[in-house]
Amino acid sequence: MLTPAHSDDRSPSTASESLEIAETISRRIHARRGWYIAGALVMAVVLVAFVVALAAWPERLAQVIVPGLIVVGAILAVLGWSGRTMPAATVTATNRVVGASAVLLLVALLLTRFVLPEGFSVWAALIGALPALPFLYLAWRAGRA
Amino acid sequence: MAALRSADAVHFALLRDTLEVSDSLLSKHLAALESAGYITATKGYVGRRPRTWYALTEEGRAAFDAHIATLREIVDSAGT
Repeated sequence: MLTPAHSDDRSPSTASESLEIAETISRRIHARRGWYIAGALVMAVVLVAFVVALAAWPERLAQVIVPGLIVVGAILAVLGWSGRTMPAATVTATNRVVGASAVLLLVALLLTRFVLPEGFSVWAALIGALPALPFLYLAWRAGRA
Repeated sequence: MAALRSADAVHFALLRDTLEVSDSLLSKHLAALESAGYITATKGYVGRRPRTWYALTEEGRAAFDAHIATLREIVDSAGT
């Protein structure tokens, strides 16, 4: 249990121990938040990579879809686990972000399929960034929570 | 209070795990802090799981910051 060993609250050693314990607890809470922010950032990168890869190599959709879903599922699990340290408002925002990102992913996929020429381009990268934007916002918001 | 100072709100299970105390001991301390007006409790759900979130009030934040400042003064004065 995290409590100072000494009973005299005014002694420097007790004060020092109390400060150390407070800092340890603060670090533990912040560490969980770090996982949440990292999860959101990784998700943003994965989404960009997924859309750009599909734009560059559309014939490989069948090969990337299952690994892509597994990676996305794992990241969402990390967000769910590390979201225990997040306030309820941020957890609600997470749900909205996932929804918004899914919609933007669909838009990005449709644009790469029907509008963009096949192959890698700057436009493919920019459109690939669309579904990542909500998760970048989530990482920023979690950092401020 | 150090855990609550580090986040907008923290729920019961995470507080318990972070502080490494039992449910009953934590509940007792949270009840005392709530009676003193230092924290608020908000009940909600994450999916189907009920959760109780605890957050510092303005008064609680000020009291904790003052406590930390006092501890630092004690430590600094012992060092000089």
